[in-house]
Amino acid sequence: MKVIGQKTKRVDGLGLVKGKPVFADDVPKKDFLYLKILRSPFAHAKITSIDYSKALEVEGVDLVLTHEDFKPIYYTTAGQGAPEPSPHDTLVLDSTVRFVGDRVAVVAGETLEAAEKATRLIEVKYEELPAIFDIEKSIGNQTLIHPDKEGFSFVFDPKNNIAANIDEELGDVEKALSESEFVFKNTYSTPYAQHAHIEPHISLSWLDENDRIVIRTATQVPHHVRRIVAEVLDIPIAKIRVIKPRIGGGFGSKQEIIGEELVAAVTLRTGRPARLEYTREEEFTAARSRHPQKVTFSIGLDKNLFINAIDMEILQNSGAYGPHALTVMSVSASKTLALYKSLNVRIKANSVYTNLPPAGAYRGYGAPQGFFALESMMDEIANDLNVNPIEFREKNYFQEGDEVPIAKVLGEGREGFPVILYTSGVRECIVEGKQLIDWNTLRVSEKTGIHRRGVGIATVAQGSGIAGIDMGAAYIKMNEDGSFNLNIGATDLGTGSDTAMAQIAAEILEVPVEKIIVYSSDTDLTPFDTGAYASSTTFITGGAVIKASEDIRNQILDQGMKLLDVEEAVIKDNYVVAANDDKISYQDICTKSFYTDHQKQIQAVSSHMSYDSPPPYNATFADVTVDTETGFVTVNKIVSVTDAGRIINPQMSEGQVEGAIPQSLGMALSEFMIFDEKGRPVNRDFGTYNIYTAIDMPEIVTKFIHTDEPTGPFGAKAVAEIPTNGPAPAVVNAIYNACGVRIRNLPITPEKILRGLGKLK
Amino acid sequence: MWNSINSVVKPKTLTEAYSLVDGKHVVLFGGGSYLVSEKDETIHTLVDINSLVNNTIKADVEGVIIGGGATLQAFINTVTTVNPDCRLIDGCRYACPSKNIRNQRTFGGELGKGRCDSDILVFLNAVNADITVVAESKKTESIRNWDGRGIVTQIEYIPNNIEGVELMRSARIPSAPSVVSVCAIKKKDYFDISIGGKCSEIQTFSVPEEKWNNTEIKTISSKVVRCFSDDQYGSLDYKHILIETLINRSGSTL
Repeated sequence: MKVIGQKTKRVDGLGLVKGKPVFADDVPKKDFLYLKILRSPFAHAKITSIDYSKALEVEGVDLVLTHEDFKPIYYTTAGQGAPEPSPHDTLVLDSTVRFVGDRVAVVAGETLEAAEKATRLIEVKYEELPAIFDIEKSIGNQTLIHPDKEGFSFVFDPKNNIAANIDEELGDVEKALSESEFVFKNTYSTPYAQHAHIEPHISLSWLDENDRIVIRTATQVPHHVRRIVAEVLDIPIAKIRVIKPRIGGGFGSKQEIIGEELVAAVTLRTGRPARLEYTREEEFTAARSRHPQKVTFSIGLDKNLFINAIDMEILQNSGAYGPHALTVMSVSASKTLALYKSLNVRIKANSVYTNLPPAGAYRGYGAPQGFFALESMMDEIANDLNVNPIEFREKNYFQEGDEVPIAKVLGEGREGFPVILYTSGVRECIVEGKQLIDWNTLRVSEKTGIHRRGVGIATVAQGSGIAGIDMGAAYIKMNEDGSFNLNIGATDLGTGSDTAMAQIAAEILEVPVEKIIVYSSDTDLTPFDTGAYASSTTFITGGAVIKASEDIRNQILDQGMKLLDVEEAVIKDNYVVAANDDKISYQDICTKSFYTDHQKQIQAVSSHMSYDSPPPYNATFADVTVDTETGFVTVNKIVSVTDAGRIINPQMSEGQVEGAIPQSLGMALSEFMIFDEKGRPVNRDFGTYNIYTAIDMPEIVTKFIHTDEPTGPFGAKAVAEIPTNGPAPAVVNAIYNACGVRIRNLPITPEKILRGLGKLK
Repeated sequence: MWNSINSVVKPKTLTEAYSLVDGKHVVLFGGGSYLVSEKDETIHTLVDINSLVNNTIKADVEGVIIGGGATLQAFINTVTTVNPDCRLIDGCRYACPSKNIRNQRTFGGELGKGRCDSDILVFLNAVNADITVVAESKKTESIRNWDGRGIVTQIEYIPNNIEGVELMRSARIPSAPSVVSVCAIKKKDYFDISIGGKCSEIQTFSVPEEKWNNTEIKTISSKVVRCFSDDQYGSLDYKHILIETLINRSGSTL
């Protein structure tokens, strides 16, 4: 292959490094209204009155919106395929506030200062209500966070504060556990964590010359934005155009519609352009975060250490609303239970409401929580049985050719589709990783003294898009210089997916990548795509690009043969070449097609949806040193070896892995959101919420092993989320290897280590 | 700068500058890195002292003299060439891990901010630096005696009577502020120790060499931990152990 597998320049790279106005906010702000949201100081309260007369007296303040200004249309902020399986429990503005930071009112002013000043002058009277902060106390609590209301949908059991529920079983788990030679049961928990993307949520809107509303926004899901804004503001989809420019990171957080509806509402009411940007504090307190989960595994083994039964229970904190409540739990289960084979599998899961900030989509989408539990558990079992943890894992993996039954049961909020494993490189990942981390030496090295070194492993899986749901489309047209416009609805949010799509098209059309002009995405100009989530773009949109490129290639060949007046020819290096060596260039074919001969626009549009979602695999190894006097853990090295099928662009794939590792290390060691006794967020900035930065990073080794996935474009599987799943459990397992302390509740704090060592009561 | 700032004044002298500030609505503007990060909306006037404060750095065997307007990065650049082992270089890097921000942040501002988790302050307290401050009048005094008022124009300490320095810290990750920061100075026959971190004040102790033992370290740790609290960084019991360990280690390396 000439282009696939090569480190090509990013198609958007030059504009980014030259500081061109590529981001959402990079537009002239003539006549804009600046929005500021008044947020709740209470975790749970009824708004009894709002007096904003003083706010309207502030010079430059044009509009104040409260719950009285919106129709009570319940929706979900989760940008998912329709109908969204997330609870529809949210109003644009509500008369009840359910977490500290919930929306109370929106002010639009000529300047941000005027809007901010006005929010401080709004007088709100609240009737404070009892609040729930503990997920263990939510189900059955007398306090109801979402008393059942007309218009609710997809809320599992509002009378018991349950946003979503899963109860599925394959085989007979109770019987299998009772017949097992060994049964292990443990519980693991993970806290709230922040995405910490550089660019905050930002949305702008204005009316075009036909009074259609244009929303330019930092989103991962432009088509879902269009649909949901239309729904909640009760306007036709045809009236809305959503433009997604370059995005400064999203990691799932920008799969939420938490600003677009407000700017659109203000523009519709005033006729004026409007702009809303979240502050960093708002990102922490009022945007979205990773769902905290408490995961309990019961695993039964037969006498040969094959897994008989896996029983998985999840208690998940949805926070005050339920975006992604069902599907995150579903992924926690479907990805973890697709790694190890068991005939008897059960999943019982509840996502409960609390009066804490709503959680949402975050890279890995439930899999990091699930794999932290599962891979810790596998390590514990191996240690308890005194068997090699790698051999124990290898004994139980699904094999190539196996059907993964859980995939059929757990789809995206509905029944899924059977998954056949055509490729699995997990064993090769282990072989490579063991060598790179020096496993055999470090595993058995001396574990005495103050500083103790250990190694740990986690093997993990993910999906490649959502089977039977994700759909992407691509439109390609040819230009007379032999270049091609590739318009896709897919959403490059900094990942480089536009470049990957260009490579796919270039490979098929036999042109350099520079000849592919990618545009993404604009709901008026680009075809539909479900958006950038669930590790879908390369696999799904890539499939569409292949189809459209092949269609175009056939048209070029057909036109070329007509122009050469031959019956047979081939495409070679920008030419259609006949058997007699007559040839015609792409440029000439297109120019003649435009102006003189067999006139037509060479163009194609194709869609792709797949009932397959082949799992990429990864083995992550951690080398750590534990200071047994202070409890501090130093991560010396992370080795991440991934089977993502054929790699389309090695540089960008390495970037995905290198970006995922710090997020997972943060999850393990330094990142967690803290709330006080009133539910107020304590750490609301990067001074107190510590993400891994460049200077904090250990040595990272990133490798890919090659498999050829028959269902993927050029054999590719996904790479976006998988590397997020492994580092946290690998670190936990390495700590155990180093000093014998087992951490089951993240984050790992030095104090937990010392308590585990018995140095602190 | 930001929305609430409506004027920037440029006084002719530091005394005048000091007379203008009220610490709430009218504040000093040096490097500006703390101002920008906090964006306190009650501030409406900045008093620009950039042209008034000395920003020179002198570091040799006779002593270290740092102008209040010198930036942390300028100090690192200057001193790395003449004394790469200077632990204040580490202090600067720990206290402010971003080089870009270190290029703005001044020593005067760092001292004025008075962060107990600033490894720079922990170091300067341990070496008992002299600071020159302009308030109602100009005076030079030990940093340990400074009440935090005034504009710091110069920091000075003499390293040639110091036999060894150790700066140790614990932080959740290297780029995070210190939970506990300990600086130990070995002089001829005693140790000076300074302890800061997520606490209410930086505390200093002098311990004769013959008394440097586990009992004394435990006693010091017990006193120091009272300035800490139970928080997300750990319980007091844990911090007691951490402080004790870091004091022990810093002393034992000297």
